[in-house]
Amino acid sequence: MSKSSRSLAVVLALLAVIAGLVSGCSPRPSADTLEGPAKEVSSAVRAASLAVDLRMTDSTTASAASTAADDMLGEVEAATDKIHGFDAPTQEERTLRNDVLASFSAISRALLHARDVLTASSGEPAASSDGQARLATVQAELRTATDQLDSLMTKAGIQ
Amino acid sequence: MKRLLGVALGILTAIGGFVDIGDLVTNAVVGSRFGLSLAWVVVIGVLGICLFANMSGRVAAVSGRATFEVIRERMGPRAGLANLGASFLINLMTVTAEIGGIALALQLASGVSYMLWVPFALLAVWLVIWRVKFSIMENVTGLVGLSLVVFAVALFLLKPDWGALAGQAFTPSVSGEESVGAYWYYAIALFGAAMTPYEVFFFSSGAVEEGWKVKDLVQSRINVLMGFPLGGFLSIAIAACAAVVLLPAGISVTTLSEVVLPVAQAGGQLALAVLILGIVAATFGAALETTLSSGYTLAQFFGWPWGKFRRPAAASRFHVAMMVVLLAGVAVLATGVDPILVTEYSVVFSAIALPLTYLPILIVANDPQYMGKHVNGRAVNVAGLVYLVIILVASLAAIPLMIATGAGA
Amino acid sequence: MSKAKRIHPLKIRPAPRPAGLVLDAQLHLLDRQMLDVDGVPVSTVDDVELSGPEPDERIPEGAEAPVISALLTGPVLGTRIFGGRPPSSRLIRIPWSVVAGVDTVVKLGVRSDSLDASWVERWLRHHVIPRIPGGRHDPH
Repeated sequence: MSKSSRSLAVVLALLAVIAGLVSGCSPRPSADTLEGPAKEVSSAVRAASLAVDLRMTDSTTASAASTAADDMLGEVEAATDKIHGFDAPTQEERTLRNDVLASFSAISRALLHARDVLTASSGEPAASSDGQARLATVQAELRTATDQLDSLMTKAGIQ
Repeated sequence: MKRLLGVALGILTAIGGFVDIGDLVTNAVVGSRFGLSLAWVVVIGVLGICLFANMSGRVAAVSGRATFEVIRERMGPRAGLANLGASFLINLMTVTAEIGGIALALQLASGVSYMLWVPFALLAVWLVIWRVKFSIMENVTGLVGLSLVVFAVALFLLKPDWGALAGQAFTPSVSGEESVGAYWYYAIALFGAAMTPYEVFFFSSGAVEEGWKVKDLVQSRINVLMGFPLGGFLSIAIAACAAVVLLPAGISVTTLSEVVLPVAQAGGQLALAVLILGIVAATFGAALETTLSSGYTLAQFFGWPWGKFRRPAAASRFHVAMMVVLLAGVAVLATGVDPILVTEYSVVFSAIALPLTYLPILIVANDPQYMGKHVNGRAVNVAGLVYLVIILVASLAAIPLMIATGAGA
Repeated sequence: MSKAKRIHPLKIRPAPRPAGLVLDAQLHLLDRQMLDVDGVPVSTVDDVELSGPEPDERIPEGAEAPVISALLTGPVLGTRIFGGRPPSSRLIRIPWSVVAGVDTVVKLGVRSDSLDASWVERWLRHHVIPRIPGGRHDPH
């Protein structure tokens, strides 16, 4: 017992040291460090696109779809916060970071619009041409933002 | 005829009761990232939970003693207390995750933020624990939870390439985008989700609650051996739905709203409604089970009167302890921590704590003083030992893998 | 104690084998569940109290063998885990005279409510549970 409690203490100490190391030095923008946040955002915007698609075919409810868009907005915000913490000493790194942040904020905006349109779509039948048109507009915005992020990721050598 | 109905009811509740927020989330995450290449873990986990749930049920029926009483008697106060601490913390995490799950599902249904649903979920869970009879509680949540079968229906409606799915399942490999470390990390998470220790505490205490005798063992064995594998089949259907819709679309699951997307795509709003009902019932049932389990472990360690068959006044410490647990879980949620994140950690910590639960059960199931002539047979012991090795390896590998992969990121 | 003449353990005659059931305190008593006369759980046996000389006291020749005077419960559990000895006045005793049988559980011949060991249970029953509606009824 005392042995297992000692090993537990060692493990906890190790965890603390690693946490310290991880939080102590902020990473610099590169294909490696950007990969995680970029993939999270890429997944989030695609999930929102799918939710809008499903809403256009009346397969999902306004509440479920707007919840999805709202959740994805949260994901993008979290990823944005991560990249804000990056150090970018060189000009090249700064450009890369700013490009990524610009792309994330375009996606955020598209998600915000999507959420509002999805929330508003609850009162009316999804088949109404008015509702369809609004959904199509936000879908197009999401797609454009997705393509923008994809090309940026290719350029930065992610994947 | 009545007997047959009883058997059917038992099996159905076991299926509905098998899946909880941990299984839901972990299977969907795994399906969306690794396809069906981790389906084998679910199979191993389900066989393991069948083996040990059956064993703990037998101990309870023969000796009338629930698992945690036995753990303290056999391990002594020190190791028993360490075990209690670990089990209790994991239980608390799971309670938190399940209540968060109820609230998230209600958000999907209503569009109202889950935070506003948390107090409602807390009140509902507590009321059922306070006032509703054990058997009714079990049967209702189990039967309604069965609507999660909609995952399997959705999988058929999606008309997947069955050959490709089978290929992923039977020749597992790590896809190019994912690391080997993350693959094994999620293997452990899935194993922990399938074998969560609370199921054993709950199962053995439930056997005492319902006053099982040796003659009821056949029925319990049928429930476990039919219900849990079918529950495991549901788990694989969840992963398969994610593998068919989300994996090719480049979506890796991080929220409950993504878990439901494939079902909506396959079956429309009706299927979605059935699914949300199923998720609410499954997480609600699991919230009840985990809350009761934390009461059971505490009461059994300290020798308090416990059980829902007693009036709350006749098991006052047991009931007060459960209220404290529920409030603690809600306090954790009130900090704004993501319930899905709590879920993902709870299944991994479950995997870490598995040996603490399963070793004492195996020992007592072999003790003639408790078990008389119902001690384990040789085949069961061999299987038990094999599983103990698997459990130990998973438990030891969990933390290093968690660190190395950044919790599977 | 250290000054006293030590008797080599091997020179002590083994105790005569007692008649009847032999209980191993560690195996059959400690950490066992106690049930009252109605089968209601009372507590767990957290420690046992023996009569006879205090530790570190010289044992006179021909002294009576120590007997179990009480089963202990409550905070004494902490001393078994972390060491130390609680003051005698703080112990919650269940006198050995009320023990009716020892099996996989320890059966007592009295009601739980008559024992000090269940005071927390009674306190919560009378001060907390009545404040919440429905606590005194059977669940439906």
